[in-house]
Amino acid sequence: MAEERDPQVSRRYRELGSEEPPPSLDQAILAASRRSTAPRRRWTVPLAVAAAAMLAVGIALHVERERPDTAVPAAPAEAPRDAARNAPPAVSGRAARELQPQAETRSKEERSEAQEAPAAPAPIPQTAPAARAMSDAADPERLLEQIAELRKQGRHEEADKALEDFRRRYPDYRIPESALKK
Amino acid sequence: MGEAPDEELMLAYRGGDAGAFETLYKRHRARLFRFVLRSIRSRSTAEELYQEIWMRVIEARSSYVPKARFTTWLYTIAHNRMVDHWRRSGLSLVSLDDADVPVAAADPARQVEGREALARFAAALERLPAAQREAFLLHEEAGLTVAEIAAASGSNEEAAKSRLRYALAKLKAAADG
Repeated sequence: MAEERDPQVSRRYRELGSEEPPPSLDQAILAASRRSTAPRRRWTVPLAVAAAAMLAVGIALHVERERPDTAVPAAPAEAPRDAARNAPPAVSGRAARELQPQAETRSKEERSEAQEAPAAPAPIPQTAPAARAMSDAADPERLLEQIAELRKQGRHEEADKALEDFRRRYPDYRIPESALKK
Repeated sequence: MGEAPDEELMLAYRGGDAGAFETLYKRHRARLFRFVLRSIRSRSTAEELYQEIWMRVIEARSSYVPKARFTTWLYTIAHNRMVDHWRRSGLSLVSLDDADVPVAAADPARQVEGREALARFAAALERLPAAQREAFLLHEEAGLTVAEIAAASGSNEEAAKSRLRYALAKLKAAADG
């Protein structure tokens, strides 16, 4: 019974009007979809590699200068990984900005950048171990547990940010109250 | 490609076919827009949320797996986005079930002069508690079944059925009156 429509209610509802999105919105959305499937520019890959290499060298030199007495230099081994993590989004972000029409908002640009480099998390400051753990985890249930844990600890700002990232990665996922409630 | 099922189109888009998205978008744009507009009623907010919902579809394309009808997936994303919007406006999820969502006065452009019955119906739709209104719109506008309404709104079938029944009863009374 609830599956069936009431013809009178349906008719009244249809009489309310048939509003549609404005053409400008259609264009913005379709443009974003085209950008998402557009091949990367050829120069971005070598540039990303070059940027990663430069960063790796820079970090290695910095570590070398800061820790002259260290017998076993463990940090340089970490450097290329960090550099590789940091460099590609910067390049992708610039490419994304160049592809963005000027009329679009900053928040849309940020989304586009996030979309351009889904496998490369943003640089993680050492002061945010929770955030680092968050981006390392891939399982949505685990991520939600971590967000709930942040809430428990009263770290709502971090939880909000993690939740926003979660929504982008899993937009259809049902989020429990423990991850939402402040 | 025009006649291809939604799920096939979304998979083609996941594979890099922007044309498949365009077909999909044209198929769902008007209904989704009305769903959001009649749930939120502030046109500017509705437009913003509508765009964000599609952006989330675009962002999630690489991880899309057709577990259910595309329509259910799309409206689940819409539901989640609107819940976030209401939460930020200070409404708890519980209040969505029990109380009306406070909104600005109805857009005068949407009032139909001289057509009292229709105005009464519009008012009844606006007065529905948010969860009931959502169940009705998912049914009437998006064409979802009760099971799909439950899936899209993160509830169970009993709750979805009950919300839809209450909504229909109130709207029928307004339509009859």
